Amino acid sequence: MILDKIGLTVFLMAVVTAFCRLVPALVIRGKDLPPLMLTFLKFAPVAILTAMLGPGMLLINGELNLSLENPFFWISLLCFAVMIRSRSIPATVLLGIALLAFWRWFTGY
Amino acid sequence: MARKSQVDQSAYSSDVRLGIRHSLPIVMGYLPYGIAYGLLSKQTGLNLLETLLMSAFVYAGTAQFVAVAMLQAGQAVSAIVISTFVINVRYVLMNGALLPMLKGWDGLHQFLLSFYVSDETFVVLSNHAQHKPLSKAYAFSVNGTALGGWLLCSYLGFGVGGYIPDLKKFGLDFTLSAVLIALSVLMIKSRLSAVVAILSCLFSTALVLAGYPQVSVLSAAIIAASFGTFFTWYRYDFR
Repeated sequence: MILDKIGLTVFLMAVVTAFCRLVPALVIRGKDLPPLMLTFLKFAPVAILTAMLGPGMLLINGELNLSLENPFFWISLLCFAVMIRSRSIPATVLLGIALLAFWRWFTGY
Repeated sequence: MARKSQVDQSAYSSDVRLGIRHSLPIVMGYLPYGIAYGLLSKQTGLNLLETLLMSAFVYAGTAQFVAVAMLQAGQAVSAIVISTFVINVRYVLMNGALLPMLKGWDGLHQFLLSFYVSDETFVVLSNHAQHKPLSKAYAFSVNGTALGGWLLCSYLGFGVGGYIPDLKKFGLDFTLSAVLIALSVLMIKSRLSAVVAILSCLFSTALVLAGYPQVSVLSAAIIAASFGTFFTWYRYDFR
């Protein structure tokens, strides 16, 4: 065996991940997609973004928590409001980080 | 002729700089995760080369965490590889959505860019593509900076992870969420896309609650985007 268990794991992980990433470029390259597919792909980015956001914002330790003990929920809501008003990415990101740091310092969690 | 190439040159370097600037917040958000990954990887018994090779060629934070944790728990290689596939199959959808934004690119460059798309660079690239066509200089600059940052953070975690103070104290683990919030606001252009965004957020949370965290992002995004597509098709002017 040239590869030990860890080496084999890393190699196979790289192969399946590259497969996932390259399938679209290999399959749909150069072809015109049907309009329905294009509409779907237009909605996909924002859906992926908020899908990544949801659980971290609404869950604490795997349970729905919208109480004051979930800073992520409240800080996220505030960040949404600030972003909608200001349209400024740096302001929103810095505000979110600062508020969470403050919350942790204040509550000692 | 000389003039033209000068113009090309300056457009090229300004795109490179813009790409770096747009991906720096990402690298900042990588810090706590990359360092935690490097540290965990060292504890599990991976050497520096293996740690960095995984960051360079798998290049997918969640899958790397899960894999290292599973190695630590002594699980089978096949189980780790299947988990990696389940976690990363969302890139089929992401790169599928990205591809129409690379119109006019040749196959080789589409291929190379696709290989180094991460959740975070996908977010930056697809947002930028909303108001400007993606240039190769910009896109590769975004991906390259993020990759460099991820490697650097993994390296730091492996080398000095134990001596770095807990970055959570400084709220840095909120960086990715904040970037996602900011960019999703910019991407919401109609009432229908707002509905899709909210549905996707709720679906993925529900899927995690139901015990399917690995497929939550992919399934929720597919369901929500299908809903948006159906409504557009059913009633072209839904505003």
